[in-house]
Amino acid sequence: LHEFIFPFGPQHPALKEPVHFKFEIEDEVIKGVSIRLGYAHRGIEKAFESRDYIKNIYLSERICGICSFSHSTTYAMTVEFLADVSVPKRADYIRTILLELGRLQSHMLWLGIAAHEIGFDTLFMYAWRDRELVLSAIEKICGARIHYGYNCLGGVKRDLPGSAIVELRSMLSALRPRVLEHIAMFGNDSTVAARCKGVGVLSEADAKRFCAVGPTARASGVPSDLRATGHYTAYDDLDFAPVVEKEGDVFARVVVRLKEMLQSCDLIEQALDLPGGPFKVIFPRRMKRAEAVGHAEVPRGELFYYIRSNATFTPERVKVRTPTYANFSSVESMLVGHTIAEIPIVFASIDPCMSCTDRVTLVGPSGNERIVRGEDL
Amino acid sequence: MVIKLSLKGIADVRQEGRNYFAACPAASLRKALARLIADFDCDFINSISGVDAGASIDVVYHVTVKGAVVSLTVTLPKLKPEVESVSDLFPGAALFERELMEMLGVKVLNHPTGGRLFLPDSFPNVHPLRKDGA
Repeated sequence: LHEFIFPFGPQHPALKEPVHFKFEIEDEVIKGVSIRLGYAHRGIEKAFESRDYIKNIYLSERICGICSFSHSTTYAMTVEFLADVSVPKRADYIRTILLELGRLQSHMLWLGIAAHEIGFDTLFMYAWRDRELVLSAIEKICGARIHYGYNCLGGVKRDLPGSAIVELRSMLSALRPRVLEHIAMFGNDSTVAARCKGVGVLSEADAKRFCAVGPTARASGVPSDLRATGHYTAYDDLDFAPVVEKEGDVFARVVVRLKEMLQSCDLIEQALDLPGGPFKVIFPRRMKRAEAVGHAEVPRGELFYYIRSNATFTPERVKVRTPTYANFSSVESMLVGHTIAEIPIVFASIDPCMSCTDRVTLVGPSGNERIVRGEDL
Repeated sequence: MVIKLSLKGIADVRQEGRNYFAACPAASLRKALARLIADFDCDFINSISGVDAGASIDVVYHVTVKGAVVSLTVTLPKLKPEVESVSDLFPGAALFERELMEMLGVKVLNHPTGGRLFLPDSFPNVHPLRKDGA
């Protein structure tokens, strides 16, 4: 019995984003996983060091096209800790509304992709059609759909007018029945159950051990949700409980996200009772010498920022730890012991094909590697 | 909620808002983290940040203790920055340590896998997040 190393990515027809995995395979069973990242590395942490604190809001927003507002909010919160400035209550509420709109559109995008990957393209169309409702609402508030450009240090750039609140309420009443429809469709479909239930299980102990975050952790019974415990923006004033599922399989992760979509609708509804007052405060441009950490619960889990300032206009160091990066450690535990056939379902967006792989590496008993080409097979 | 952090070898714990910052000698880092795990139910490492602080390399370990982030800063000499791995205490830290090694040139002793994570194999032997790195 030979042990094979099965390379996967970074360029692969089934991969939407460049990432490289090396699977150690023994008789179809995965024995080990090693990961290489960095194929979309743009040196943003270094770039933070050469821009001032205001320009860095826009840079942080461009780390991700889905969690754009989450990044700029977490960055702004961390700089606000650094400067010891507190944000007006109204700005906290407006940020909360936009964070939850961001979560809605992110979960709907994910739902569509997940549906597409298991061949359920009707649901993919529905999910992305309904996502447009949320994106249009964001566009009406911010003037942009993806990079909102709405945060500033010390609050938000523009106030949320009364007309936007009315429109958001009517958007939510249109969206809610559609979300319920998605829940019924995904929850009751036998194909979805067959592809997702009992697959890629991450036990509660492993989720804790590998420091999993977000829906990945919550689907394994770990009730970690910074919205409930992190005391940031307006979440302390809102009434909600983290969505937790026990099973830890792919289906549980789907269910957590579906339920969180409804939860986001509730949270926005509650936050729309905005307190009065200013929506931003004057903010210093130069920071004293200090360090601060800030974190927030974004669609994929905990987003973490560490900023150190050096009494100039630019930061000494900005460290960003994104939720997906934190969850990569759990991937090994989800896949080891499973078969190659389960890789695509666990990654939910990958459909690997062994015949596409033009070569494999054969690891001999001596550990010497020999490249085997497709023709040799 | 206020946590009383009394760890041997760690002086000067600073509380800012809900979070804590402290300097920690490299030799007592693992002991301090083990104490946090055993006595304060700490089971989550948020991140490891490496900072080129001019004369030294600072490595900041951020762990969550009862909802608060505790950041322990280890200051390493720039000429020979070496620190023990903590990925046996926090398996989630293994990737963060690989990033620390390649981005700041800190040698992490006893790391389970090692190897590059973000940088390609062909990348020259410079550390991009050092101030003179790029």
